[in-house]
Amino acid sequence: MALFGKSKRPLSDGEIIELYWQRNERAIEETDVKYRRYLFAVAHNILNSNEDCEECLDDAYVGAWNAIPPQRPTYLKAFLTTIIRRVSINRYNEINRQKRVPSALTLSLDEIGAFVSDTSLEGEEEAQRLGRVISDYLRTLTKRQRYIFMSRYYMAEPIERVASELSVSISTVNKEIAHIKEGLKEALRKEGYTV
Amino acid sequence: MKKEDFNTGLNYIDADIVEEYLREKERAQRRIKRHKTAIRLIPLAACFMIMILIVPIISNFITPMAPGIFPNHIFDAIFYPSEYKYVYSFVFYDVSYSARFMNLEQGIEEKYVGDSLGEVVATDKNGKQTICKIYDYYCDPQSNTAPNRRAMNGVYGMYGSYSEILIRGANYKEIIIEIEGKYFPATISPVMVNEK
Repeated sequence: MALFGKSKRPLSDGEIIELYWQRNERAIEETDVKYRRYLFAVAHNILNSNEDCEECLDDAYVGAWNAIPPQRPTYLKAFLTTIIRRVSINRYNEINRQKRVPSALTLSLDEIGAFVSDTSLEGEEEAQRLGRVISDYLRTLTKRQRYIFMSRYYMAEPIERVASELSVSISTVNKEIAHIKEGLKEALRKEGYTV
Repeated sequence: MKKEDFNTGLNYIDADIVEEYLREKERAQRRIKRHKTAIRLIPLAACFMIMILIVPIISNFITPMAPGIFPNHIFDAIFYPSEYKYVYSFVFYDVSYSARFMNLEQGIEEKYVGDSLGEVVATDKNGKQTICKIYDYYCDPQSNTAPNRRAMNGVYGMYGSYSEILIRGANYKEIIIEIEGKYFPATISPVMVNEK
């Protein structure tokens, strides 16, 4: 028995998650209808290639299918964002080993070139620890600074867009970024990271 | 730590920070959308304001007011059909309108010229003509018995004042009187007169 009728409007997040839990493949369709454009844009900021973005989108849907259940996200958009980002970053790293990827992410990563080293971190556990350190640091920032950091480094958005969304000038965003980088460098050093 | 490691580390930022950011982003994008809609409406609003300001000014140029004549006098008149040579009536939409006419004893004779224009020519005993035109959207001649009306002193300057009344249900936007090449606007008062 179909729980939901034929969709003429995007389903709510709750309805889509319920489809995942019922293992109804319509869950993927409805996710695509509602979030495709957004997820594609996230991937495109990182990869700058439509073909690579399409592949990452498919991988992200598979990732969501595998994760729900047992997970029951409270905010589906955020949940999908972390998945598409993770998939896109993996793809980015693969491509970047062979050639420099001309994407918005590359530009934003160049900004933090000042405090990274040539030493590699080992394993997912280390990456998770780094994630916690960055999260703790972000909680010490103002809401606006946190927004700027997430826009610039998590979503790899251009500075102009960040400024427009915050209704501030580009120079204000640049000043905030400089302040954030200084603080982050200090926070990483305290945690023992080589910067 | 390499740049790639930093990037990978970002994948493990706490979920509540990601959620807070995305919600804030949605709010920002709605703000921008509202702002863009408002910006798009500004030229429309500006055009509307210009029209409101310009139209009365242009109307004034089309219908200039002559000095010494009431700018928006109300026309009213009572006349006696049996005393006059001509009786004309017009139908403007569903309104009937009787042409005015003067008492022959005053030395003025009226002659109706043209159905659709509503033009009236008055000639005094010296041969001086006054043409009075009534402008409206549409008129159609139709015989009609005019109510009893008496011509008051009109506004024709040398002929004395004159006024004209419209029959009930008048629905005009304006009447323009042309007197010797000069145009005078007038307002309409839908008043019923029944007096001899």
